[in-house]
Amino acid sequence: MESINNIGLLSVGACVPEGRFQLIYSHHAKVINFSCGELIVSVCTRDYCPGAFRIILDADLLPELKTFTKLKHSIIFDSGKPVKISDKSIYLSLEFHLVPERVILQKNIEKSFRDFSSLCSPESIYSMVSSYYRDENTFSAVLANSYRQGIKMFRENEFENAVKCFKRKGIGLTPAGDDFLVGFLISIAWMSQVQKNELSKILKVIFVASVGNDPLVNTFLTQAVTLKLDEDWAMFLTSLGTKEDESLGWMTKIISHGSSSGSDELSGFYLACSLYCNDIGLDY
Amino acid sequence: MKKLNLTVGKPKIVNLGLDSFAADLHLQGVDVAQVDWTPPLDIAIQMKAKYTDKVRAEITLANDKALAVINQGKPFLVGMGLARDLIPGMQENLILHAGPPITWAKMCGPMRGAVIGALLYEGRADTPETAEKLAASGEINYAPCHEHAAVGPMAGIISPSMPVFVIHNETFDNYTYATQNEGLGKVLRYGAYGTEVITRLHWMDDVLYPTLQRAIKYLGKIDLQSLIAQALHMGDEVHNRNRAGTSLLIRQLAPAILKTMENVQESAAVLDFINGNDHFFLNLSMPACKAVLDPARNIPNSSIALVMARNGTEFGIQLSGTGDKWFTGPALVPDALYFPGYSKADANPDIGDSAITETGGLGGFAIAAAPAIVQFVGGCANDALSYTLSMYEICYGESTNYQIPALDFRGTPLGIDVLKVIENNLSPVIDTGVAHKNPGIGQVGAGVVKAPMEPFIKAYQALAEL
Amino acid sequence: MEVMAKIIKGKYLDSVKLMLVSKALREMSGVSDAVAILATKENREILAATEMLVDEILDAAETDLVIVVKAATTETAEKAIVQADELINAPSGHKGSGNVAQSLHNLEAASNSLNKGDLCLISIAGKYAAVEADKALELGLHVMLFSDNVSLEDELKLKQKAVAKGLLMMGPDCGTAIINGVPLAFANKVPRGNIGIVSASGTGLQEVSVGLARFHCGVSQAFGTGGRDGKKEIGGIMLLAFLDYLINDAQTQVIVLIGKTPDTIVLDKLWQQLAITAKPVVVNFLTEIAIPNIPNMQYTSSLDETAELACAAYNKLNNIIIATKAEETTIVFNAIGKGSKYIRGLYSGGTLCYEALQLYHQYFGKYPFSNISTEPEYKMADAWHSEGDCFIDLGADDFTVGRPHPMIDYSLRLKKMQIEAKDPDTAIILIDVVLGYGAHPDPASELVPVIAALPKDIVVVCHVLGTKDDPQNVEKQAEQLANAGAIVFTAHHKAVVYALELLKTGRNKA
Repeated sequence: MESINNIGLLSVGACVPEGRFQLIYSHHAKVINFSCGELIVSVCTRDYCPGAFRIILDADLLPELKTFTKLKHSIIFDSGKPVKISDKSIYLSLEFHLVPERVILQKNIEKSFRDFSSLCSPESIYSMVSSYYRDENTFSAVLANSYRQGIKMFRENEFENAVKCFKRKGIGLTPAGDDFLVGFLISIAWMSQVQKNELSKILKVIFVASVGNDPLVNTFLTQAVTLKLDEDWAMFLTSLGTKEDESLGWMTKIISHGSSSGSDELSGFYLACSLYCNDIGLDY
Repeated sequence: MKKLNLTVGKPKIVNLGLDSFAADLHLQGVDVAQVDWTPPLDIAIQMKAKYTDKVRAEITLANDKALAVINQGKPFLVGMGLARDLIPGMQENLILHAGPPITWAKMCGPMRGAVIGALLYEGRADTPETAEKLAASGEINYAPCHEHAAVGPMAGIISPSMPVFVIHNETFDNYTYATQNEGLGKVLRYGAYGTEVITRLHWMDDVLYPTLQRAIKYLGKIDLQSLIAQALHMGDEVHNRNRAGTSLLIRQLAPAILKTMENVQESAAVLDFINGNDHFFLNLSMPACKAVLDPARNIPNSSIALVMARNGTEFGIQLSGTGDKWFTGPALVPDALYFPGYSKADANPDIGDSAITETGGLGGFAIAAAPAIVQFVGGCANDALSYTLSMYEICYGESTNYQIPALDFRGTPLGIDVLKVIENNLSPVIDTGVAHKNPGIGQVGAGVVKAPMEPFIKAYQALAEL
Repeated sequence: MEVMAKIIKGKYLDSVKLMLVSKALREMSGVSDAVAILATKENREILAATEMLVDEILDAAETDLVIVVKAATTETAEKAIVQADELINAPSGHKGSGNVAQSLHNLEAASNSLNKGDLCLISIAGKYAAVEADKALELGLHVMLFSDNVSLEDELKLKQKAVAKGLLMMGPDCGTAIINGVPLAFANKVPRGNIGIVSASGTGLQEVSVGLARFHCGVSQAFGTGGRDGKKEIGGIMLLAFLDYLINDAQTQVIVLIGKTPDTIVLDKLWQQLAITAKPVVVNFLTEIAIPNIPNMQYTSSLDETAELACAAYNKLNNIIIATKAEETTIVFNAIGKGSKYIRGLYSGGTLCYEALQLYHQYFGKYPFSNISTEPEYKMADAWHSEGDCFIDLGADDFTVGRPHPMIDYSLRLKKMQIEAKDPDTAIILIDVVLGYGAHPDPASELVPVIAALPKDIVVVCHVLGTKDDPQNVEKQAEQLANAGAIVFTAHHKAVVYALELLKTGRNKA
């Protein structure tokens, strides 16, 4: 395994605070998650896109790593030589601006939803809620029913109860339901920016209800409400607001996140779009 | 009489039967090979007398000829047009479908859905209900694509107004046809007929078709054999994985689309559409296979299968030596890798003409070339190699056009020999997607499935009776 | 329905792997649901709703991944969990040794994969076996045909072909052989040495080879011919060919010939062949027969004596003097229960059962009842119903159709032991426990609880056939059975004699 000191630094998220990180929350082949107060900072291989709470290394596999120290202009991995943080490697999340031509937004979202419905992972929540289960007593069938119930409650503005149908529920390493809520929040937060709809109350209620005891999920939820999004999401949303819609490429990238995480986030995203973006008709 | 002769040292053992014996031997450090044996079919024992050495010699001669014809084929994409203008025998009231002949009454869900969709698309009905009524009325005729020089994936529906690709086998001057691939999700070939499906089909008529037609015309022709050969070297088997084939195609098409462009948005949309659909090339690899197989029809005594096709109800094959006769048996529900939330209970029996790729020595027969999809067939590259290796045991020969890098560029197994299928009791493997049994839900799984034996048994019998 | 779960801490799983694991589990027959999830409180609620929340999950942290399986039986669920473990721990992309897992659907491919094999071991159903054996001979492979139900006609053709090609054709119905030191099918791990065996009987071969090992001698080659080679129809083709081989084999100093008595014409040919060699030959045909006077030949009265005399001949040839003979522990004759009077022998080895019948005859001057008796009046009409003294071969066809051989699967014998024990007439239960390759991996584990639970007035006599190098280790097995209350022997003759002596004493008292 290559020594970590020889590995280049591709990107450092602007939200990674200065200080020494030594508490490993979880360790995987391509990402090591360090506790950072209530949240998580991740050291990842280049398979991951830049994010506000991420440090991306120019490697395919992660070397042994126990601690790192982030300083203003450098990072020290374990007790090695400081690695300089160049200005261009600092990842600042994009900001979103009002999109004056609502028609563009409407058309793009509708089109991208059609793309999504054909491309999304078959394990995703969107696929699950539109599937038929012959054996109603399997885990997947009961899960899908809970999700369906949640969608119904979101439609009826019963936010807290709706959240309960998703929170911490689902298959995979991050429960799919949590990913769904992340996408749902991203959608609301983003629409408040680009449309100037007054959605901040809903945003707050859902966020508070969604936060739980999993720091990794909390980190994603926080990024969603503050719109400190990773590059794929940020570019996806930006492209939805432009005339030359290039959202498809970014959407495919999001879909490739995790096992079905990306598709689950998008499942939540489009549901929120269909509920809170005026004039949009999605066949959800 | 020879002196009994034992070699010195631990004997190397071939074990046929109880694998615990092999395990015990293995434990003792003995070299042992376990035979993955299946009992011969009863039919092989019954018909033993019919297949005399003389008969077998005739069959061999015929098969040599058939294999040569198949290997000599040169398929090119030469143009596009409308089904009603090009497909031989196409009529306004005719709908072509995948697999062997079938009536409306016996069609499975996805195929019915696709027929309804086609009638809506043709403007023959305004609502799914009236379309269904019309479909069942007797006014509409149905025929296999294969009987009209065409092929179609999944439901394989072709109606008169659909644009089709034209493939020309230059060596034998025959043509085959296939529609444009619609992409994944809610699509006609899985039996979906919602507005979005019909709208997409019309967009394909209005935008995709003319753009491609101009580009192909500009290029003159595209050598499909060369594209397929390259795609095999790039990880495709051109049945369940067509990513490389699609990429190679777009590399040829893109400059021509730009040079013949009438409208920037539309051209961009066409490129986007193809780029976003990894299976676009499937609708070319299939008719390319058919184009090279068709000239080998009607070679008396040949036991090589030229068609394997499923209509979602029945699995049918046609042999070179038995003319246009179909040999059929019930299509099986695939034992595939089902997407979570789905199981075998949701699956439709095997459907589609796409098994023409296996018949042509590609698809499941060439899966050793496609390590990227072996995760879906058991998880490791060795499994894929062993699938391909086992197919050599039932094929009459090897392809001289398509090779497998992982087998030191050995030609793919080619020419399914019914005699070998029956006598080795080893059925062809087909690398396929699985459709939901209800119309329009789409793909619910993927994997390698075995062809049912019944059609091969019937063909084996029929060939002996000739 | 049985639900089982496994907690996985700190494991990285990618999506495809997760999908494959749950697919593989759901595909197992008897498994109705399988999921891989984090053990969150909310997921537990769903597990509870689908009756899948088991105790193990309660110990899991909310951040632990759990695999939960619902299956028809405990066994299936356990299997699924083991399978999940293997799948998760298997490095992705590699399997086994890294050799290409070439599919070997026929003999030729398999032989080629070994860079030409030497011997083909065939154990498929009899009706297909002859065709495959013929193919193997055509490929130049020696054949050991374990399968039975092969016609005499096919057997003759195969043996003629083998002899013409200088190949071994062992069987059909050949259960045991040791070739160049390698035990094949049902055989024991015995040392290599200078005693060659030709046997028409599988367990006979096992008993003798193990006996040789007990007397510190080894085996050069041990050929099985199958039970019918000595019949008139086959003419002893292989008996003669194997004897010829051993006579000319430099490594073989002493020859052992065993099996049921061959046809007279065959017998004649055998005597002729034995007369031309100077090597000591020890013969046992399991019954008393008239034997010609051949100076280098000894005819024995039991399999154990066969081993003993063969070793003595070897020792004599090589001037080896054995100071003291290995003695069995002194035998205590337990009294048999009051009022009960019969012996019930429940065998898995056919030859051993046959030998027991002969020994009984020597003792009591008549035969006991048996399902393999050749005397019509002593042939059991219903092998399930014992009357008087009975010796039953549970390896005979009437018991083995559709189930594994009793050397592998003890369930039938255990059931039969319990039935016999309930019969107030039963005094002694005599069983053989055959060890070695092919046999049950741990017979004591099955027998001990049943023996321990039998009524105390029933005497259980056990013959344990095996060596300490066998996978099951004869010493360990014998010890466990003795601890359970059985009287244990490692030589068949001794076991039977003990049991019969006991019976006789008991009867005299009565």
